[in-house]
Amino acid sequence: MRKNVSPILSQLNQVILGKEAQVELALVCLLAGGHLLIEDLPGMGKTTLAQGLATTLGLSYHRVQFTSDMLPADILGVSIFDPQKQAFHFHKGPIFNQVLLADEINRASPKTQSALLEAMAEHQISIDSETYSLPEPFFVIATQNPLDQAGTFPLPESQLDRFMMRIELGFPNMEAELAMLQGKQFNQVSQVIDTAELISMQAQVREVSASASVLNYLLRLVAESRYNATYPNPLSPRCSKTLLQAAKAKAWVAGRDYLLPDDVQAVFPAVTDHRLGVLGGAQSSGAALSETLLHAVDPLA
Amino acid sequence: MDLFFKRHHLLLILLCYLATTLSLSNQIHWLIFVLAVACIGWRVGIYFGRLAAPSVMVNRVAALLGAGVLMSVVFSQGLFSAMMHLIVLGYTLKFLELSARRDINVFVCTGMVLIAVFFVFETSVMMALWGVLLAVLHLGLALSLYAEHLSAKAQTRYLTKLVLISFPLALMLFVLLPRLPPMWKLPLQNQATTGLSETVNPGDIAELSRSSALAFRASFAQGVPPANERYWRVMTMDQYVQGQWSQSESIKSAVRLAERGSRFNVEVAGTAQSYELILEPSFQTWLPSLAVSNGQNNRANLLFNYTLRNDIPITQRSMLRFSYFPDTPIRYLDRTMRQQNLLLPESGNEQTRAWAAQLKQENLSPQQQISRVLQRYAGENFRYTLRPPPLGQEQIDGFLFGSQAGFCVHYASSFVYIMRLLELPARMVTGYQGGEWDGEGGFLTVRQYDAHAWAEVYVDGRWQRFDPTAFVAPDRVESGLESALPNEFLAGDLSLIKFRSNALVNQLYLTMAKFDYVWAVWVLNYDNQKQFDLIKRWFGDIDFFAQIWLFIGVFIAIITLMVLWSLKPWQRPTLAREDKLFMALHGVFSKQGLERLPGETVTDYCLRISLVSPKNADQVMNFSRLYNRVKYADQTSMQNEKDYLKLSLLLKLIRRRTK
Amino acid sequence: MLTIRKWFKQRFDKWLKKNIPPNGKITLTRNNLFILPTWFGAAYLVTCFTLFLLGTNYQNNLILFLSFLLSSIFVSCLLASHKNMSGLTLYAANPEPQFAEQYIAFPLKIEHRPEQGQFIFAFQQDGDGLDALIKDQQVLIYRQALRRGYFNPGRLTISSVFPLGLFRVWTHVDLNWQGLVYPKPIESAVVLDSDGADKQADLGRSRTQAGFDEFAGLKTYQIGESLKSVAWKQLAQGRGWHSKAFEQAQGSAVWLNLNAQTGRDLETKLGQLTAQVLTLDEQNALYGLRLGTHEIAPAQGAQQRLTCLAALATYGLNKAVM
Repeated sequence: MRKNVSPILSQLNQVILGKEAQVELALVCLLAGGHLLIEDLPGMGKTTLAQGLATTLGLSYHRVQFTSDMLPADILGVSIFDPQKQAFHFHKGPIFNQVLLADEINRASPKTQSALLEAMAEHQISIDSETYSLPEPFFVIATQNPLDQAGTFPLPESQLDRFMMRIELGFPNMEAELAMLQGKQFNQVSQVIDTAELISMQAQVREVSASASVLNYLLRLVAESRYNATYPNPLSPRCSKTLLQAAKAKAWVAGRDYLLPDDVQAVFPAVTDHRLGVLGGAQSSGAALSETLLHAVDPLA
Repeated sequence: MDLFFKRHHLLLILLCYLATTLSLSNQIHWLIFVLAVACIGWRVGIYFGRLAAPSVMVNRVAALLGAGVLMSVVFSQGLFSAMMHLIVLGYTLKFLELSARRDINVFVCTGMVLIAVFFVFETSVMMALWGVLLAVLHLGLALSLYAEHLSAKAQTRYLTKLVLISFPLALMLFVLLPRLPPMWKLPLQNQATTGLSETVNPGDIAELSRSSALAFRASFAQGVPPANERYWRVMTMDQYVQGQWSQSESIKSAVRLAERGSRFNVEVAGTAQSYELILEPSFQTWLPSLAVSNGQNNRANLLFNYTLRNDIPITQRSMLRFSYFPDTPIRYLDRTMRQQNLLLPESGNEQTRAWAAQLKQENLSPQQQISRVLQRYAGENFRYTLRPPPLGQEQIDGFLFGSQAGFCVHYASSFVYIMRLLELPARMVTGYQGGEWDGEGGFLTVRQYDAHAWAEVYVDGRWQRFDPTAFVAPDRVESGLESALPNEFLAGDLSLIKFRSNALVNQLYLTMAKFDYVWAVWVLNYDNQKQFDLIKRWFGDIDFFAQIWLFIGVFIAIITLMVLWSLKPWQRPTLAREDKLFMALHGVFSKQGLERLPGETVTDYCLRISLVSPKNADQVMNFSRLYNRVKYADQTSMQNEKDYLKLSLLLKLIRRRTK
Repeated sequence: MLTIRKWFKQRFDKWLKKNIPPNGKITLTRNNLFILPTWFGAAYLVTCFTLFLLGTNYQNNLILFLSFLLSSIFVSCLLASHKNMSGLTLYAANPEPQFAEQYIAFPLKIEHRPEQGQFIFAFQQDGDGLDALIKDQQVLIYRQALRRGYFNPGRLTISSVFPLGLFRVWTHVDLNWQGLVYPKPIESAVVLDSDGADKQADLGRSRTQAGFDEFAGLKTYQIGESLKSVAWKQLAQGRGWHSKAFEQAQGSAVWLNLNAQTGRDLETKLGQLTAQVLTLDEQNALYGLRLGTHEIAPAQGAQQRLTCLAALATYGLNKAVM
């Protein structure tokens, strides 16, 4: 574990108990410059995680609860006519925060969803033929209810691709829940690093070297998904790029400046599960697909 | 038309067709080419959509009609020619029905047979190469049908590779596969005979002397005989009718008897010298030989006049082995033969008759008479020339007392005539004299311009050779025609031989001649005997069964090489050195039932080992850390080397501890 | 006679199943490749033998050599044609679902060395008429599916006669393809379930204008919204830019039901339902589907169409075929 990363993680792990792997993945996702989709039932600690991350890393934070009547302007901001100055004035929306928690994103209409996702991809928004850049770093944590809940607009596959990772927090184990009930949970979170430090960390992540054999392993994984009938949705080139970024961040967090197949494997389920999809809509077998893929490709060949 | 048929296919077929038929153009009747123009025209018309493909009916009618016409035209040329023309006809008519790949396949197979026919006629090195090229061209046609994913250039490269890789096997089959004797008699090609003819007019041999074509080559086991002993007898002429020498009925009946299998036995005396002849195709059965020779193979029969005859005409370069007995005299003479060899026309050549009568009255011994006649040739103004002036009706008189200029036939003819007038049995012998000895190559080259005629006279109980030409032009016998007649030599011939005064040309000529000789001996006439010699030279004395084993062994070796080349196992990706170490580690623990799982990384695998066998935990985890660094980290090669060394030491340690 | 052939075929199929088991990814090696001379190969051998006889009988070494050379090339071709196929890796991708009696395109990706090529693809069971379509490294092999459900096209024969057409190298591989076959649509009027029958009249149309039905209130105007929706009255009153928000009517979903269909048998009914699903989807309707106990919640769009069609395709079939 890298020295300057461990205080961040240890603080976060005191806020969210018993979710070390997920917390680390969330941090890896942030360091790799990607956005995170958390799919879980309400009350699992999604908000706590997002808020904890923002505070620990010293980032501005805003939470938006998505509803079906929400319009794009509610997120992006709006130009308002100022009668005094006889001119339009742009009111920045909640998106102009470094960490945005988009709660229950699948409740909003597709139009609103796509406005957010577009902004996520481009790191800027255009309104009234004027372009506004989003702050750096910019990190969206979207949460989604499980798909079978009524009255939702599931994110289409093309939109899912914009999230680097999808993770499930799941129920905490008994030990952790006991600790939580006993009040061993930290409520006060303090800032550990500042923005400049975070940006330099992200730069270091990009510098992690990937040897030819690791790249080859990554490519073989992607190719297997494309040409084997087991996988209904082949992985896109964007996905392989994302996978590499995520794996680099994972390697960096682990304290290495070179990539191992293990790093790829560690982030693989989180990065690819929502992209691989499932055959015939059977939700249950979803987790198995990325595992099958990892088993089918030998990291040493 | 099938979709498969493209422009380059049509072009290739045309190329194959034209190259093959034009190579055989000397043997093919011109009607075939007329038909070919029609068929190709039709095919091109079909290709451009101007003409419809002919119906099956049209094809059959064309085939029958073509066969009928051709047969009526070429049947007189013999069965061989007829069969060849039928194959060429089928080859030509294929242009009308190229509707499926199968048709091109048939075309290719037919082409191969025609190339074999081509080899019946042409056997030189260049022609052999050309024939192989034709075969490869046909294979290229097949390849173009089935390898459309390759460009023309890639196809050429592929085909070349395919042929080259097949070459060793073919060569090995050629060298080691025992030759079978002919299984049945096949029709032979009919062709005009070359070389000496069975009748001799004065002037015939002069005609031959203008040709530098090869007659035969000879090599001697016990050293080459001196130039003046190189009298190669081919035929004897014992009948003189109307100024022309020919073979009498007795020789012809002897030939017929020999053809039926009767043999003339001769008692040979003295030591034998063996020699080999490489005969150029002459399309006749007479063989040149040194007197007295008998054949070592069954095909050459000795006749009563001690000439040798082959069973079948020499239609291709063939090698024959003979034994030569220089000390055995030619003795045979019976009564009818004596009469035949004294027979002259009742009258004519009165001047000669008078001169002979005068000589006869001097009561000299036969030997003395002969030397008197020969002295006359040497003494008077006789001239040796290839362009003698025309002689009148009385040829002998015209020559002896008129022009006194002539060629070997003139001398031999007049000499035999005088001998018979002197009542000495005499005959004319035609054959070759001399030849060019290549000391380096060890063979004697005899060309058509070495053709010669001389006389044999029965004196002292045996036939003795007399060459009156030698008394007029001793150079002719000692060093050949070129030095005897430098101005007239090969007047109309433009071959390289004429320019041999140039050292470079001469060198080139000699090299080519030697190469051609080796080709003739080792390729064209490579037979069981040569095979045996070769195997003996390479592998020592081995018996028949050992030879079979040798054959099988070499066969398997070559096939193995071909398989290796084809599969190229050495091109399989080799393991990186650190992976080899890991495989070794894996070997150690897989014996304990710890196999790497599908998709498991080295780190995970080592972690699992360390959990199962804690005593190795530290080393194994260290191993995985070092392995990862060597394989994946971006570090200097020196650092890498260090880590690799540590890794291999660690492996040794783990091995020792797990033992 | 026929039974003997059948017996052999069964034995062979069994052998194939054991030695070339079904798999979505197959690499061809000498263990799963067959090789035999073609007719041309046989004719070529006969030609070689003819040349051998000619050469022997004429005692002509050149003809003999030609015969040997051609025979050696025959041997080289044996190796070369095997080499052309071995090492080939086949990856089967999922075929797009199709309706019964249509041709399903089974996609196949081949990975080969650049010099390999000229492969011929055909399914073992014949009688299809449509051939394979080879494009780059992607091959589409067509086969007609007659019945709904999961369709396995059977073993695929891949063969090659490269380089000279003397040998045919082939293999029968089962790439584990499962093509989903929807029932064949049978034209019929849309029959809705009884509790949605009263909505039959405004079916479809109400959906296409969804979102402009009922006035729901005012929202802050956003640039880009239609000027028609601007609340001009409020703007004129100086209350700023607002737009009138409309809400689409909810709860107007219709239901298709298997039991409500008029067809004689199950297959006809499924066919009718298929046609109705397509009709409703075309009208962008909000619909659900009841198949016995199985129920698909009302929704609209491509995803709903696919879900419904897949349910219709597999209804009543043993799920194990998947």
